[in-house]
Amino acid sequence: MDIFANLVNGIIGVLSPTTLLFLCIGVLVGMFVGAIPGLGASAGLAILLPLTFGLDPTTAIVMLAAVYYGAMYGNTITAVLINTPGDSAGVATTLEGHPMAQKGRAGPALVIAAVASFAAGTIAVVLLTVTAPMMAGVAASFGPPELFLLVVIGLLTLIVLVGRNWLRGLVSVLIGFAIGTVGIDVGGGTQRYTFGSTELINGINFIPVAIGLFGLGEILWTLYRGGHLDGASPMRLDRRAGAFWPSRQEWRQARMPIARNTPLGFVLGVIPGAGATVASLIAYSVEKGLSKRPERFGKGAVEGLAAPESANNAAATGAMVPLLTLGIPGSASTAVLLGGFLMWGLQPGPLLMAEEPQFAWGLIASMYLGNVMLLLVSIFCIPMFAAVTRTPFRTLGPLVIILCAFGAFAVNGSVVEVGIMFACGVLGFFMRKHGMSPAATVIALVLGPIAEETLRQTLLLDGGTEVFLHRTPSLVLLGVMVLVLCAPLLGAPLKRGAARLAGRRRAAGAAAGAGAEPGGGPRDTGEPGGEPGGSDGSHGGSAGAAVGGSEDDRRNEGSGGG
Amino acid sequence: MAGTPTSRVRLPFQRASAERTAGGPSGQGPSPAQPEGGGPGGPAGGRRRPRVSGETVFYLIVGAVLTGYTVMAFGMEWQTTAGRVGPGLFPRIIGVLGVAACAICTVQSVLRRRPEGADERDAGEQTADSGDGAAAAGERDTAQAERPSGAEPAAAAGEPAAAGGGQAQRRHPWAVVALCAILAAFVTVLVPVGAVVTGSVALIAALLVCDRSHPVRSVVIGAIFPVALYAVFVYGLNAPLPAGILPLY
Repeated sequence: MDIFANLVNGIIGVLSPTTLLFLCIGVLVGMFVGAIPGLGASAGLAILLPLTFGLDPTTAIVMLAAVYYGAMYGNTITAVLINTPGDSAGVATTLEGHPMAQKGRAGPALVIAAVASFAAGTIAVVLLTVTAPMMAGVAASFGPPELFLLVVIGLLTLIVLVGRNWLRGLVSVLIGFAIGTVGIDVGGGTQRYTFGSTELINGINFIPVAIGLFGLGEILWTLYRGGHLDGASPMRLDRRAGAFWPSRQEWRQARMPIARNTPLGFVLGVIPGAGATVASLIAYSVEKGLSKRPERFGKGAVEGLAAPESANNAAATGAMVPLLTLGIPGSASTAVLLGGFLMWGLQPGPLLMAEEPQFAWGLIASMYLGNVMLLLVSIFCIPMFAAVTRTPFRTLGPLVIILCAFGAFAVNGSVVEVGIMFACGVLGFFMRKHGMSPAATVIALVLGPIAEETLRQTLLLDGGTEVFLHRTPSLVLLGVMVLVLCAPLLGAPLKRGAARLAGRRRAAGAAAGAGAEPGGGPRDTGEPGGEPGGSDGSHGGSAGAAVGGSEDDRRNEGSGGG
Repeated sequence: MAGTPTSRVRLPFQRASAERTAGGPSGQGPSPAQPEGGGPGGPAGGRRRPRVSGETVFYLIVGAVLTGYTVMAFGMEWQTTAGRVGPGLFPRIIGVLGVAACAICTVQSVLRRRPEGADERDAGEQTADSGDGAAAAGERDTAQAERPSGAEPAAAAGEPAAAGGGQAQRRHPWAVVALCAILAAFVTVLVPVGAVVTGSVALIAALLVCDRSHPVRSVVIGAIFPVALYAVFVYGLNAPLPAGILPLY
């Protein structure tokens, strides 16, 4: 077994004390970052990326990946305790988690969420272990036309399916592309948009842009919204106050949602552009749709907590598949990780797993260990992380700004990059303010040069643009692209049909429930939540209103959670 | 650390009521505040809407930048003499698409004197109880969350309710402007003055912008944190930061 041997090698590689230490640090920092309201995985990764300089690539990526999926765990803490998710992927968790906490079941809620996250994370890593080599095999047959189409599809998914307003998404993406064209032209060596500056010859570095758009932009936005005037939120998590461990019945209720939504989350994570937030909300809708007693939802239903938690963790891991096998980030956080790959001199793409097995498999292996660590940390150190939220934003925000500034300078020792970072922070602020998607910009910035290079290579091939039609893989991808473009059009009828179907199913009773979900999730990317959610109008209650209310002021960040 | 105990339960991002408005003149005032030089004004929850919305200005600026980009792109060759694709092709595609998209966005934002514009959405942030929590993250998250929930009729109903329910959502454009000014000053003097001193002064200033009630604490944190961070970067990570006027290595 090739996979097995690779995995064992990976585990052996990771089991060095240094790597384990950094894995541990990554896990703790990830939990911390996740628990800070307002700082999600993508912002945390962008801010921390400069800190990984001196490390060797494997150690660095192990640590950053731990930060990434650790943030998914950390998210839960604030979502449950103070009803404010650290990141968008935690929005669905608040819907049931917080009501549970209000009923005095905060301990059980957090334990169930941690176990759901762990189970989903681990299963997703197994799936990743199996699918990544397969995907890499398929991707190895891809040429420039296919890679170009993949990039386009990824961005289209982001714009068309995920975005609130596709026009704004398009502008966000084009801004990213435009930033990506600064510097020396990949094909001919001509300088573009450098205005004679030597600092810009190598292009605008990805890291300051990411730090600015995610980190600083978020802080300015929070400040604008008055985050600095809020006091610390009182957190109550006392082990003596109530039961800490979930009851037997709660375990039973959590079991099936975890099993159902892990594969669902994984698949959604693999699709570029979707991601953890979409996955968690779909999972919530699916569970609510399947529930025999949907009226319990919104009042602390364990299923509604376990489902999004397992889905978002599975999606976070699933997003690693395109990253490792295609070199295409599926979400904002993986875009930052990809930026890290480039910084460490690795060439992401189909050959990464073959050429850098130690790196790729080390990363995968570390995720098994990281999930175990996170389970232990999140069960036994929850009160410690709960304390994080006692640091008010008015203190934390400025500290993070200085950290961003120093980090941006340290990357290349260039003050111009600090300026770029600040400029991008301001840009990120206005993008948030006007409903555009900073995440799409960052992803496009990473993908832009890839898109340009592959497009030019394609056009150099015989036949020019016709080459897209002469190759089977690219024809398939063109088909997918058309599907993605048509998805919004197909949306409404599908939703109605699904709603009818789900309504009938519920009437039919419990037996029908089990078979409902598998096809629903993946097919529904265009229509996340459409199927079960549509039937739930009458039960919407506070949960439905919560999502609905938040929707109004939601700022595009594409796959912010991912 | 140093969390001021508050008597009432409040979410971190939830706007405080009228109690401390240290953040300078809030955007709620009748005059539309202009937070950034030339940037879009934040008509900040004000009920009186300026003639040109901040959104329009923002798209106009982005559009202008992209227009300049496109003009330069057309100055480049799109095809080399050998008949290959030149450096100008990709920027041309981006530029033309971008200018077109910005133009449409601008027109839309002008036409939409609407109930669900950006500002209204801001204002409608805090309605439903649990909506708060979702909203806090919603800012970042967006869109994705939106689609799934959009499927729910309840969500559809939520929109007007949220928009309508936006009472006096305070905005703090001046705090943002102040912070931007601090950042601009930071970039200007970072290299000559040095990371520690610049960082300290900027941090103290930023802390005071965010929280005027604890000047001593701000100064203490501002003095200690940049020094510690400098040590971490320079000695721990071997990443040089400018020493500036201090005799550091």
